[in-house]
Order: sequence, then structure tokens, then C-alpha cells
Amino acid sequence: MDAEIAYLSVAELAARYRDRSLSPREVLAAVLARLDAFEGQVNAFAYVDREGAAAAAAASGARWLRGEPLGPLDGVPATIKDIMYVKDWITTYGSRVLALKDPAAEDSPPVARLREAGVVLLGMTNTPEIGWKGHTDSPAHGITRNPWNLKRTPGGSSGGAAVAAALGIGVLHVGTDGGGSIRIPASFSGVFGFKASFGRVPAWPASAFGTLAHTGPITRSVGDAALMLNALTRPDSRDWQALAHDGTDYAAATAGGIKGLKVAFSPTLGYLSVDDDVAALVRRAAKSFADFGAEVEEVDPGFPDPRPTREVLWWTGAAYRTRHLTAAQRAQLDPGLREVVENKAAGLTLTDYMDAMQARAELGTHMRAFHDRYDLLLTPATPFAAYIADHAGVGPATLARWSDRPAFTFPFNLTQQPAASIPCGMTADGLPAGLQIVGRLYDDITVMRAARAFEAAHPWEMPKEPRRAPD
Amino acid sequence: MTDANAAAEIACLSVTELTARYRDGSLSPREALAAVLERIDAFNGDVNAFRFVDRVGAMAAAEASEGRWMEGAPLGPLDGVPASVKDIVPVKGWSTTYGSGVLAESGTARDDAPAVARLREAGAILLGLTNTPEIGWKGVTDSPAHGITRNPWNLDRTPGGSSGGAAAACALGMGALHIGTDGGGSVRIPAAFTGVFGIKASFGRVPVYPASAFGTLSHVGPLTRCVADAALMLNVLTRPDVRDWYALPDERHDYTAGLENGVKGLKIAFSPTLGYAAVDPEIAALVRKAVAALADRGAEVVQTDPGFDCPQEMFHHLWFPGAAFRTRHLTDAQRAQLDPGLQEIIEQSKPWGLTDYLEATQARAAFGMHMRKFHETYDLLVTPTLPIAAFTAGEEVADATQTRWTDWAAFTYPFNLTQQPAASICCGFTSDGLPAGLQIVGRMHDEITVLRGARAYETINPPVMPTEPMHGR
Repeated sequence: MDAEIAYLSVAELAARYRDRSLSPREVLAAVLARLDAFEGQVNAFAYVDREGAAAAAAASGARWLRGEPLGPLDGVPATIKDIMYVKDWITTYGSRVLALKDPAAEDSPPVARLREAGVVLLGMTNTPEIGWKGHTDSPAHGITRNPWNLKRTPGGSSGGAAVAAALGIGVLHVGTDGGGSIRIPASFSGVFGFKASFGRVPAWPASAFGTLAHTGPITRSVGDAALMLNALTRPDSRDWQALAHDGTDYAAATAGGIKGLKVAFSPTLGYLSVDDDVAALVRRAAKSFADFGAEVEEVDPGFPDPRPTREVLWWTGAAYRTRHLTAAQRAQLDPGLREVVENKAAGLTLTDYMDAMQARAELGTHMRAFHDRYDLLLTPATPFAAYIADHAGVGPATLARWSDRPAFTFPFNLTQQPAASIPCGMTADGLPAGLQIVGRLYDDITVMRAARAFEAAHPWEMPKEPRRAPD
Repeated sequence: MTDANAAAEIACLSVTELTARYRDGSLSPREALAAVLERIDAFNGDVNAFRFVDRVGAMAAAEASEGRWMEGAPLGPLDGVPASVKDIVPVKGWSTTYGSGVLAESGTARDDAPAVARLREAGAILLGLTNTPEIGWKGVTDSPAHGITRNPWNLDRTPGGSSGGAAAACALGMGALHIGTDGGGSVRIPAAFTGVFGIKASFGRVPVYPASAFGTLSHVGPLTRCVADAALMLNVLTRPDVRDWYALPDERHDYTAGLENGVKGLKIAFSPTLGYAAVDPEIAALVRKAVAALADRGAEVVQTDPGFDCPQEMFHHLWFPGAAFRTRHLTDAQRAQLDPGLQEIIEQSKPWGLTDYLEATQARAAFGMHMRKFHETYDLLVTPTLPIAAFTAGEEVADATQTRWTDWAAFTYPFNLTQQPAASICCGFTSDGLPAGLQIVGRMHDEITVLRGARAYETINPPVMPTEPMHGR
């Protein structure tokens, strides 16, 4: 019963709140029951606010009873990645030395928008320190695990959010994505994740990774993400780089299919190697876009691996974020992050940075021209399924393991394009694979529409409970 | 009426007037071009606004336009309208010098920059390239490559810069549409000093390629004699171009829509000094009078400062490294040929590191947030464009108390840091007969309200142009 309730979509919840067959308090109870049952195994949360959630659920229930809900998200349980501000909560950034000393005085924009929409805020989900890497373990909160196989990582950096989504511990999960941190955990955990175009979702305070970092939804369904985007995209003066709010209704715009669109399928971006089983699942998924009336062409976008550009910007951001730490404090950082800020970023100059920014702009121009010809680009979201969690983030070898890993995601942070990961099947090991759907800059709608079409044709399963698969 | 007077009248027609006459056949694009070229022949020697004029290309474009008008198939409201391009924006088949001997392109450009491509597609007649200081680095217009550009209101004075050639050409009727660039005030400063209209739209609204040395500070925008011309020009300039990665979503605004709506009901903040700038009393009085006129027309004017500290250091920490990066491949011998002031700022930036730059970037974001919050209350912010009138040509600063152009441009560069739309419109003349500018700043992405405010003011105080270059009194 709890599982059934906890896996309801936003639309289903709202319908049942409206017809009073279910109340926000009952839903919260179901979600908290799952949290209590599974959190010890997966470690998705850094903090849970049971009192606050109960109060929010009670208030929402009263609004529904009065027939005056704040909107379609009223009473829907949601989580926030432990990297943004929630009023009266302490953001830790997964860190022992960078955590806020006092509770936040105000909500970050996405939190403010969800709160205004009446959601029930459950708590903060785990992140690696300042969200610096693609799997989730941190000095402050330890290792987060993949519900499809507890020995595996759920990916990261929004790994806690993805795990919570997959296990039905909340419906809406706010993640951030500076190099793939929404799409990687969505891919590894078998849920939907979308980073909208840079500036579409107002953010504040700025991420360590500046104009690489996007905010977006992680959900079990495309429809839930669309409804969440309607709230998240509303304007907030605190983000000086936010786009003008154009009033798009993503829920409405996501219907309609993708007949006639031109779709590029790049199995490797021209330079990456991909595990065979993932490659086969992604190819099958990409080819299926022809079933929706799209014209699919196998073609690479034609840029060389932009890893050097990305590294300069990434390392620089990490070093800048941690510049005020003492040596003793730096010693308490994730060893991989410490390696970055003390060694990798050392010696980088302003000229290196400006060269990287110039290379980035050229890549952005290249992709704008590419999307003159193609509405969408499909690739694997990750070149392999989830890997072992316990070796993932410990020791100086971390950097080699993570930063050197092939990645399909970060090029589209450099270019700030909208990009999603959607589940596209399971490997022989029973692990999810993700299809990445990339759109032209600012064309968030087409990505969401394609995701919806794919979801309708190829629905996916949730794990229901954490699995102890043999390794 | 003498022939020269006839040429003057034709050369100073607005876009709407020109195209109305093209349509009714009372004037042809070739005749309009001839009038403009006559003004260039008569006055360019005095003001040095153009560093290159393409008579052959312009004539061919005018003929082609004429053919389209005769067939009743013009390309749009800019077809056959004479236009100039700042010598910092590539034009296919022309060679861009950036006002520099050592940074000049060795060959001709293979492609039009986006703004040029849009004007060409719209049928504008491209006249030539207007002068700029080297890479547009300062707020006046003189360069190692092309010397001093002068102010038509007083030839001893600067027209300002860096789009000084564009502004001087505009004021004298050497073309109706002028493409300028603005990284710290370079559209608004010369507009104010020469009494024309200039607007930089929000960053990203007008696609740019290749990127400026000054990166996300730098905007491309129109200088024109009237607000409606700029609005029509923006309708074209804002069309999408995939080459600018930073370009905003194409929202297909019609910038002429609502132009005549007046200022009634608009909430306008009037900041006479931004809280920190010293303003010449004559300029201050002209600006105050202009603001009172807006209040008379129904604007809700509140005198208030936006409440930020002078961001000059922040600006320098982003501006100077841009200049250094742009010139990093020059040899020492080449660097010695740069404008001495440009050499100084490059030198000054050398000790600044990546952390300084990132701190300035972070401070900029906080400043941008501050102004977004300010505009939750106010639709527009009006200030003087400049605290002084035009000073001696060939100098970077007005007097010995100043060392850098930013010392007297304190009203303009803040809104490059914040990327907001901002315009300058002439609000009268000093007792020396020099124009003063009213700066109108809008909330981010809202250039339409800036244009609307400017047009409202223009109806109160219609623009006056110099009939010919004037010698100082």
C-alpha cells in the first residue's frame, strides 16, 4: 500500500487529493515509511525534516479540503540536494569544512518556487563535496548506494536525489548539473533527469562551477518533471543570469510528439568507447525515434573531446570555492577534491582560463550551427552502467577513476544546452542504461517532448526496494 | 533651396521618411546615397568619421535596392537605407583594422558579422567603416591607425567613443543607421557627446561574432538620429545568428511596438549622480529638466540612487585583462606600437591573477542581482549619460584630475557589468553649444520600455542635428 502511494505521479496525487481519496498527510506517511525502511541501506539523505514536512502536509491538506490548492504541486513530497539553501536548514555541501555554520536565512530560488507551490519538503539529499564528481560519497555523509544493486554507486553528484526518486521517497527532486550531475545519476538509477538550458531555472547562490552549473528536476516520469519545471522556471531576481521568463507551460508543451523532427544519433560523440550492452540499448532506443515519425541519422556532432577546456574551468571553480580554507581544513576535503584544488588547479593562470572560455564559446558556436541541421542529438547518457560504489570516492586514485572516465554529459554543460537522461533498458546485470537527449540551446521544450514520446512508447520500471544483487 | 541644402535634407531623413519616399517614387535609393556621399565628401575631412568608404559597393547596393522598390518588392523597412559599420565589426570583402596598425586584419573579411549580415539581408546600403580607438578600448575616438575623430558641434572637441566615428557620421547625416559597440559606454558616450540616439540592448539580444576582446561586457547596438530608426534597426539586428553562443533566445519582439505609449504610469528612478559621481552643474540642470518633463507626462518619478558603490575597480579588473588577452600574441615591438594608454592598461593588468578575475566576476554577479532587485520596483532608471560635455579631441580625459576615461564615464560602464539595456538621448545643449545626454536604463531584457521612455522624451524635445561641422567659439 505504501509503495503504491509513494509511486504515484503528481497528476495522480492531485486527482486523489481533489477527490479526497488520499490526503497529503497519508502520502507523507507512506513516503516516510519508505525512507525508514530503506535509508539505512542507500543513504540518500543528509537531513530529513519530519516536523516541517508534517506541518507542510497538514497545511496542504487543509487547502485541498477548502478546495483552494496552490496548484498542481500542492502536497507533493519533494527533496532538495544538499547544495542549495532551504530556509532554517543547514546546507553542508557534503563537506565537513564548507558546511553553513548557521541555518540558511532564505530559500534558494528552486526551493522558494516549490514552497510557493505548496510542496512538502522532506529533506536534503546527498551530494559529493560541493558536487564535484560524478558519483555520490562525501566526507560528511559517506557513500550513497544504488537501489538496483547496493554495491553500485547511483552516480552523482545528485545521487541522493536519484536514489530517493527511484525508491519512491518523494516525487520531485531538485538536482544540480555542472558536468552531468543530474543526468549521470538519472542514468545509473533508472529515473528521468533534465537540466534545462542555462539560465532557465534561476539559481542562487551561484555554484562553485559558475556558468557550467544548471538546476533541474529528477523524477520518475517526464510529466512530473514538466510540472516541476513550470514552478522552477518562474522568475527570481537573485539570479542575474536568468533568462526572461517566457511563461511556457511545460506540461502542455510536452505533449504533441516529435513527428518530422530531425534527430542526430551519435553513439560515441566520435571519440568515446562505450560498453557493448549499454551501446546496444542506446542504439535500439535511438532507432526507435523513427517510430515517432522523426528522421534519425547517425552522425557525430564533430567536435574533438573538450575535456581540456572543461578541466580548466572545473578545477578553477573548485579551487576558487575552497580558496579560504586553511591547510588543515583542506586536509579534511574529499581526497580527490583536495588533489584537484592543491595540484590540478595550481599553476592555472588567467590566460589559461580565458583560453578555455574562448574554446568554450567556439564549442557553443559549433553546436548552435549543428542544431541548424538537427533538432535533437541522442547519445548514451553514460558509457557504462553503474560501477562499484565502495572504491568510487576514496583515496587519491579517485581523480583517475572519475575525471578520466569517459563522459557524454559535460560537453553540454560547456555549451549550456538542455539535456536529459531517460531510462532505455536494463543491462544483463540488471542495471539501468540511460539515453541522453540533447536539444538546441533554449529549446527545452523539444527535449521534454521527445522524452515524453519515448517514455510513452517504452515505459520503465522502478526498483520498489533496494536490491542486493550478486557482483 | 541650394543643392547642398537639398542634400542635407535628404541625408537627414529618417528611415520611415526615406522608405515612404522610395515607395511613392519621390526619391530613389541612388539619390539618397548621392546626398549622403555629398555630405561625406564635404565633411569627412573635418571630422574624420569614416576611415573607409566603399563607393562602388554602396552604388551597387543602391541600384539593387532601387530595382526592388520599383518592382514593389523591397526587402523590408530598411531597404535602401544608408548605413555604416564600426571598424571593429567584420564586413565581407572589407578589411577590419580595429583602429590598429598591428592588430589590423591582413586580408579582407570572408563573412559579415551578424549585425552586418542582418543589415545586408534587409537591403541596407553599406557605406563604409567608421573610426574607433584601438580595439574600442576607450571612451574617445583617436587611434594609431586613423588619427583623431572630431565632434561636429565643435571640431576642437571629441565626439566621445569608442563608436565616435559612428556618432559623428550619424549627427552629420552621413547615413541613417550606424552599428556601434558598447563595452563600457561606447555607444552611449558618443551619442551623448554628439547629440544622437544610441542604445545597447541587453547582452545577448544582438548576436555578435567574433567575440569582442571585452567578452560579456561588450554589446552591439545602433546609433541613429531618432528613436524609431533605432527600433527598426533592432528589429533586424536581433534576428538569430548561430555564431553567437551567448545570444539570447529569439523572441521576435517588435521593438517599434508600444513606442508611442508614453511614460504615463511608468515607475522611474532618477539618480542624478548614482550616489558617487560629480556632475557639471549645467549638465545636471539639463538632465533634471528632462526628468521633470517625463514627470509632467505622467511618469511616476522618484529621486533615488540604485545604491551600489562605484564599480570602477571591478570594471577595470574585467576590462584590462580583456585588453591583455586580446594582445597576448603581439611581440614587444608590436606592443610598443599600440595606443600608449592601451599599453598602460595591459601593463597594469599584469599582476592580476585568476583569483582577482574570479572575484571581480563574483562581485559582478552580486551587482547584477542588486540591479535586478532594484528593478522589481522601478521600470526605468534615468541618469546623466555623462557628467560633462565633450572635451578636447585627442585627449583621453577632460582634465588633470582624471587619469583614465572611466574616471568620467562613471554612469555608463556599470550597466555593461549588469548587461542591462541602456540608451542615451540628447536632452539639450550647454551654454557652449554642446549636447548633453540623458541615460535611460531598463531592467534586464526589457529594452522595449527603454525605447518607449526615450521616444516619449523625444516627442517633448525633438532631436536637433548640426547642419555642418562647427568650429569652436
